[in-house]
Amino acid sequence: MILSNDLYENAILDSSIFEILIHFDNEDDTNQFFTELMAELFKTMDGFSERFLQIIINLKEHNYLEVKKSLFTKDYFSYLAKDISTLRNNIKFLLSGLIITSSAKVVSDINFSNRVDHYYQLNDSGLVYYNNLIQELDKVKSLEELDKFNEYFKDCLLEMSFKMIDRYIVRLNYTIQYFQKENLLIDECKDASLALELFKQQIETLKY
Amino acid sequence: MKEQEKKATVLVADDNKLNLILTKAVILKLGNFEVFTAENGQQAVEMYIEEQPNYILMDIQMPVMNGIEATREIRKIERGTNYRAKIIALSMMFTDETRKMGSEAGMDDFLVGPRTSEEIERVLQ
Repeated sequence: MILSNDLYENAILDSSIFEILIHFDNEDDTNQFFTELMAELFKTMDGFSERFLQIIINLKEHNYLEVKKSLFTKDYFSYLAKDISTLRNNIKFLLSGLIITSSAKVVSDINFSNRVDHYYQLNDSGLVYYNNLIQELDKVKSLEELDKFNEYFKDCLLEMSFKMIDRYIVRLNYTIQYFQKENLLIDECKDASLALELFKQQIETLKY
Repeated sequence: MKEQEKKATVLVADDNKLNLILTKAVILKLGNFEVFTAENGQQAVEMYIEEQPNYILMDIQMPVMNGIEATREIRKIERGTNYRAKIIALSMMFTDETRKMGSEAGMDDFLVGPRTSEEIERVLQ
């Protein structure tokens, strides 16, 4: 099996994982570790799918504490490609803001920008919705306007969540196909492919 | 033919299988090590009895038996022998209390955060 640059860029695993797996004296070791890792990751697919579905469903139903549970579960997220894990971190952070604004009883109570500033500096990918959200929040003068703002906020998080899930689907699909071409993990890939197809259909129905 | 240098042995105990696989890969890349793995503290104790590794990388939070309890068990087994494995605790974060409990149980070192080759090389000395 050749671990190509194309694979590093498009696979479900973060490129830092490949850094660990390459440069063995024996190429077989690299292949063995990579195959072992993917076999383990395929086993966790159902868990990821379930969690992603719960994130969308609970966001739509305004059950933000449930969304938080799904996002904060300790798992293999940190091994996934950076675009996916960064989106997850940003959603996690913004969700904390949404929990504050959606539970506020008095408009003047709202202030979540102080710690966002700190986070914003730390996060090299940036929070694409941060400026828009702060601008919209600044316009809020009444509880009715706050309700509208919270809907807008929720829609931003929904859009980000779908984007994260789409990235997950595309990268996982690429990785499965890669293994299929190499005739490795044949049964695991077959199961993963079927499960991914079902998950794609479930997500599509939630988009509308 | 030159006699092959005897490899040092390392036991890695972690319930996160991806961590286990990656840590093993990092150690093997460092060179002259043989690596055993365990997925919980109980397995780690059993593996310790079987293999008597030179080093044990022990995750703190594990099911069945956590890393601190497993360390206590291993130190009990070592009592009265002249053998002592170096036990290194693994975690993304250690509170002062966990460090204290770990040290009291017999842990020798603490590896915090990502298991980079530099950090693992440092503790396996």
